[in-house]
Amino acid sequence: MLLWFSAVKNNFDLMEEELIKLEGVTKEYPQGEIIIQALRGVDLTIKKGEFVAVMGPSGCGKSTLMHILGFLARPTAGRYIFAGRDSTTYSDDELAVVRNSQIGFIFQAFNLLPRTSVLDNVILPTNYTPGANYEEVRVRALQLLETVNLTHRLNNYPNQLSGGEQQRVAVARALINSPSLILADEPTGNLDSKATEEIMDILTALQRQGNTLLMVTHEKYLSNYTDRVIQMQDGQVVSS
Amino acid sequence: MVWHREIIYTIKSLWAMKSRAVLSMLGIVIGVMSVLVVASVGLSAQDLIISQVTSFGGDIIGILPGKSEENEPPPIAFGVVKASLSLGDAEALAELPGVEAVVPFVTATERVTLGRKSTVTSVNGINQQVQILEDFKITAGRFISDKDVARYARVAVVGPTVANSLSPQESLVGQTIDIKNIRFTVIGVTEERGSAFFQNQDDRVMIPVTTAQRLIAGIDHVNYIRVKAKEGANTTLIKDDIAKLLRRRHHIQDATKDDFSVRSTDQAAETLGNVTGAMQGFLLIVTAIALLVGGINIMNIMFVSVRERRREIGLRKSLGASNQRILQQFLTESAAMSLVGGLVGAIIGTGFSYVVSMVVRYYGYSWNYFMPVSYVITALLVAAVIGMVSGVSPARSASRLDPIVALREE
Repeated sequence: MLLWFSAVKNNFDLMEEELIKLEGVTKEYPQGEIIIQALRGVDLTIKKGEFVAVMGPSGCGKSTLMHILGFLARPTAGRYIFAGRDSTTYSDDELAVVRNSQIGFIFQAFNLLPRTSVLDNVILPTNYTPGANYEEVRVRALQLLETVNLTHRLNNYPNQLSGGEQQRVAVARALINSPSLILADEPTGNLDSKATEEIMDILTALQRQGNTLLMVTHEKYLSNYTDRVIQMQDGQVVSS
Repeated sequence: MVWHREIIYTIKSLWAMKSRAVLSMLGIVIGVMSVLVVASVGLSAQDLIISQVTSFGGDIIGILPGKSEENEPPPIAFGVVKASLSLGDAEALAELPGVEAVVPFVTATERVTLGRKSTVTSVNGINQQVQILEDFKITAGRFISDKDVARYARVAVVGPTVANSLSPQESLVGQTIDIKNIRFTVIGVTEERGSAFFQNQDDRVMIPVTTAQRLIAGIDHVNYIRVKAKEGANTTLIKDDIAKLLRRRHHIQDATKDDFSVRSTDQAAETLGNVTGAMQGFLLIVTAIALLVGGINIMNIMFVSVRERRREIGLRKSLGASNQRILQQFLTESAAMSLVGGLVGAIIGTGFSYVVSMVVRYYGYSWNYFMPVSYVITALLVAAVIGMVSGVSPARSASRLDPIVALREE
């Protein structure tokens, strides 16, 4: 199990300049009788260390794009090359390993486990990492919680935290396994302006440390924090 | 992997819906409890029957009036009274080889009075050999002799329960008691014996069989005859000899027209054992169904739980949980529920059957308490397996959830 896990995890060339390369990716969903085309031939390249915003009206396919980039869904056609490897043929179990080791998700609704302490929420992804050493993981979680200024909240439960604090816990959780790509789905959608600023500051700080980030957002002014904006419409990238 | 954290999380999420978890465990609790109670009470009942039937030591042969098949109850069990056995039969049986004691019984239930005190007890007409047959001692006075039987003497030997209720302070020996308004002189008191053959040996009055026939029951026949075989004698052979002798005396040529039945105690024990065994088997099936319903209960609750936690499942998958890990998580939950339910059921069941044994002992039976560890372990294992099995279907539906759909759930 451990060997297989590291084989899948180390399959990637993390020195590759282009972290993400999509070639003619389409995604179709059957919905009753008809077939919905969520993505219609997307070509896209994201370099290591970039901070990219994805924008567009609802239903334009930006969520689907993020699900494919985060290995939660497979393209119907086209190729997804992640860190130099074609990931299109991965099995469900292999996709789970890639999500666990390479991707950090941040959701609009935070999605923390209730009745579970802040510290245990941050550690949660390592439950699915074979060979993870609890002491090492704990030390790393404590460091991450320090960088998001939550050291005083370690043993609190999510329902005792403000929205901004909860999202900071989620950011720490996304970073616990040192992912190659951080995907944020409207990370500030449920936050007030002060908390929004805090989160955006943390995300830009992450970019400065060399992380690659992709953020889906509705708010035009948030694109000021990013390197570039990918504009989508009707399942296609219209400008990037 | 951080397994113990997952188990803590399992306990926490069960705790969060504790009233519902308790309700769903109730089925398993009741199932395991009733299985164990039925099993334990069944063992005790079997033990009681064997100890009652063999309590006189050695093999006792009973001769009952009326014909019956070996595996059927005798006519007397249906209230049919037949007058086919006589004192002469008993005397003739005593001549057979291998026979140690022969006792004719005439039984009645009568009010026994001493002054202002009285009690209702069973009055047994017997002969002197009953002391050999039942192997008891006299604590005061003497026992009924052959002479008493021959003279139709109005003498009585009483059990300690009767003695205590009539004359708690001074000895009853030498006093005169009234049975059915006929005066008897008490000549002896028997030792304390408890019960045997489902009859309280202490709560009875023994009088000469002849006196019982003429003055108490008003009959010429006897109700039944008991024979004790000599140590090491072949009881099957003796039973055959008894049957042949009685046929000759009753002028019966055809064995199918017998007017008596010959039974031995081991046969009676076997018949009673079969009846209680069948009863226990039936009850075990009923309780096993209760256990099964408990499992279905858990399945139901697990389906609800999976539905309510779709978001959590989606989140865990997006963080890298494989389908198998999600399956394990929910299986652990249902197994934990039924194991806890099983443990609680085992504790209640053990306690309840213990209380039952106390109550039965209070009423004077030598009821022993049984709860074999193997029964408890088996019941717990069955409960855990039922929990796992009923968790499979909900857990599979959880593991197959599409994380995208699950995360979108509100």
